[in-house]
Amino acid sequence: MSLPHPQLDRDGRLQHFLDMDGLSRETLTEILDTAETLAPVGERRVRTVPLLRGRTVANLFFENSTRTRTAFELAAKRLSADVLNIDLVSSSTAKGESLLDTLRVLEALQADMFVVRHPQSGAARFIARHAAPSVAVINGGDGQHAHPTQGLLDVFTIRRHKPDFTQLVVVLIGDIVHSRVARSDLAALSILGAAEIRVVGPRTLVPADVTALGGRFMPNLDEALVGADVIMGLRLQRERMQGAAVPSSGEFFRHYGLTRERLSLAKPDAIVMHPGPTNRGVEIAGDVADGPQSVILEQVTAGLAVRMAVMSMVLGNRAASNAA
Amino acid sequence: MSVHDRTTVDGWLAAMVGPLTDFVVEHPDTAFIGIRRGGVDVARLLHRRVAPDAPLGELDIAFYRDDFGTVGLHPTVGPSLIDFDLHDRALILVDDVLGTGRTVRAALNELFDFGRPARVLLAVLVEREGHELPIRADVAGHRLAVPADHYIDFDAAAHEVRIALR
Amino acid sequence: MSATAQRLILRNVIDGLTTGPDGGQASIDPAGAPVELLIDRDAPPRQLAGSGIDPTDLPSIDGGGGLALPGFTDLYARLREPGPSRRGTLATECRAALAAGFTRVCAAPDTEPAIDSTATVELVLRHAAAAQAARVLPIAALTVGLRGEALAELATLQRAGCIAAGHADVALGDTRLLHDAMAYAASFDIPLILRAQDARLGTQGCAHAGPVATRLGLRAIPIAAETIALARLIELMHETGARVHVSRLSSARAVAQLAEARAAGLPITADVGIAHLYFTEHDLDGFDARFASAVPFRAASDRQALRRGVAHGTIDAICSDHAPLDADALLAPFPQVEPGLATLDAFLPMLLGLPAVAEVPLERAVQAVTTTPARVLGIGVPNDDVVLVAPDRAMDPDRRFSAGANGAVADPALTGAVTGVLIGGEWISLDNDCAPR
Repeated sequence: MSLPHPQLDRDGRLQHFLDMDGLSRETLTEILDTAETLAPVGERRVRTVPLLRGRTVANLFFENSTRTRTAFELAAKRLSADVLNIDLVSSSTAKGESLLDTLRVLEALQADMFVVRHPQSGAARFIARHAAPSVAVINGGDGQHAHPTQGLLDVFTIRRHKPDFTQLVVVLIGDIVHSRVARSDLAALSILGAAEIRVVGPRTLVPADVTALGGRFMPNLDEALVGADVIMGLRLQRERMQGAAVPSSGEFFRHYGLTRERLSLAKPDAIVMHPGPTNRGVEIAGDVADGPQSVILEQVTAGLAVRMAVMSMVLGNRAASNAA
Repeated sequence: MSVHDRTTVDGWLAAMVGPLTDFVVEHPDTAFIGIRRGGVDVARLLHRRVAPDAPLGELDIAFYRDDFGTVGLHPTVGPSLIDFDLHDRALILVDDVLGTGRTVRAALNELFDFGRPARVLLAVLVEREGHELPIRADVAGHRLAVPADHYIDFDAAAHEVRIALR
Repeated sequence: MSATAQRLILRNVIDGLTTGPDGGQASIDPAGAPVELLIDRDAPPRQLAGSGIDPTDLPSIDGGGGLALPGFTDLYARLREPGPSRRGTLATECRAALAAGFTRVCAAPDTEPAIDSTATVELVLRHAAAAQAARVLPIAALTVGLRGEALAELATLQRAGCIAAGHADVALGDTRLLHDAMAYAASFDIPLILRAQDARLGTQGCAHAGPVATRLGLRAIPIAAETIALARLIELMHETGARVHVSRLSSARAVAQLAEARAAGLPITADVGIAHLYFTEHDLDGFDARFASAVPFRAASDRQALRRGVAHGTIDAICSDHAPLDADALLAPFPQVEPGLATLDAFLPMLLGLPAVAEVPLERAVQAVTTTPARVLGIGVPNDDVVLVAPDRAMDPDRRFSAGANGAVADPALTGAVTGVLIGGEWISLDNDCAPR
């Protein structure tokens, strides 16, 4: 790589959180441990800690997402930060103002942190390189490239049920090619040493060189489910598909949908996950999504703790570097 | 380096038992809370000697410290463990060493985010000179003056208190 | 300095000019002893010694011990005029070409407007002449406006001065139209310079379909986008008898197809951009926008096949594929960046670096930018176009001629600079100054 990754400083500490590139198992584990410590905050009478009091977090969403934006907003507020929500979908940027010019204008916010979601792969890294150096950037999803906080909350949830990744067989089903969630999940699982990561889907939805992502392609879902500890369904990203990737949702469900019968092929204590929003009857049967093995709702609450951890670690690292 | 041995430390703890017992008699719902990490050991020792059936909790103040802006996030041991309701309850807040008072300030802030206690008594094994905040121990096993460039450490396993240069 | 002379003496140069018995370049020894060369407009260059010509009264130029090579011919460069001047003009880019060793440059047809009218051809030739630098050979747009709908007036454009016809980086979807265009061009013996690029597979991605694009989540361009289009070109060559020069190859499979077609006797030639002999998909890892390119940088194995192709002559020529862009063009997330590298300013060091880096002998590299491009275009090599090179001079980052801000990607350890150019017998010095005198 010719350009240094902006997310790590010289000592390997997180200055931004853009993707899983270059993150060690120790760093990932530290984030998960910090998230575990922050998780109970929501159960208390006062659901906040004062870590980011006086700091401003700006949500820069160039792509619509109420769920993710609300999740980041809540995490920031639980850390006592001030939150600004900037809607850039229907704004001058959409009208052709360059991203760079938009960033210059946003400097006036004097935010300590940008949480960014953008439709182009590489946008988060671009913003980290070109925003003011005092701003920390958290990637809330960039094109098809990465959604690292989702990757984190997925492995956080898995760890709570199955603490030893080196023993796990994980199966990812569905749209990997268009999915930034899949890329971040694959990366996080690889870093944590997952024993085996199986990727299942029609070849139009699985990249030809999925081994570059740490996964092993298996064409048949039933075979892939045998011995699975964790099953992750992925959303069909219809809005990112070009051409004839999948003829219909019905056909997809018949061959790749996670039904109760298929689930019974996995280990009896296997857990079922989905990043949401879940398309019932397309990726997952309704009764499986609501069933005893599903941890989908846990994933949502995990998102809060994980985002609080990342935000406080990144700003904490920066404060320590500045003071040094 | 100077060391205060097991016998000496036991003497300090013994001196604390009396006033704490009086407090518990006056407030039958008292709970003990130890501040991680050194305060947890002292809290256990006092809890066993004063009121073994009382609730016992642990407080991790990592998210309430006042030095986040210069040092960043301190590594955490885990979440605070308080599985009882604080509201309207009397608390004995325990730490091993009270120095500047900043740890206790953070602990109090955190406690009040859990609930509103009726009363908080601060009990420390050693209180040293060098307060930077208006916080004093209600009950202290021992008080001493130690130069600022020395630290005081309570070794729970060896049941000793060591004072040495940083 | 001197007016255009029919004959002159180049003193104190290392001989990279005189052809050997096989018609190719004799062995070029950059460390050889300096000689005196006789440059004659009407005869190939000779060493003065043994030529029987009396040098008195002949003008002479001191070559400063530099390596003398024939002036290069660039089969593809975007000279940006007509078009917005922030990306370059004929004045700036023709000077950049000259400073890279090119005395002749084929101008890409995707100017604004495209080179599809005699008025545009005349404008280009006029401004190029005024630049007093490299000569421009315009490539005519194959279809009007490069819209892929209607054939342009190819014969008229040829008469106006276009050396060939092509379709830039705009894929031609209509096979029927391509068939007719090729048949028409064949009638007038107009060379075609065409990229092999499928209209659907090749136009929606921004990076080679490989592990880097997979990891970065970038829309990919599979190799089949090139090979399918190349197969189509080859089939249409069988049908129409057109002469086709395949412009800017990127993959090993395409090189193999090319070899097969050539062995079958088709009049097919091909080139590769100099950058594609150096860079691969890994260079754009980390979303490095400097390597966004219309012709994708593919795998190391593809680069290896391109290098071997050049070394063995399967790939006839090397072009610059020069694409100057202003600084703002790179300042966007990778998929939105305008693709292209401004290669002219580093072209010569990269060419001279090929023997060490790519196992392409120096003689073959020089041939790939001199005699073979001329053969492809069906033109001769001017006897009095000479480039003087200081092969060991370190690259000077301040010595930039192109208006492009997107050039700085070559290894700074590469060396070589053009110190002066003889173009049609007229001497232009490029030394000690950032502009030709």
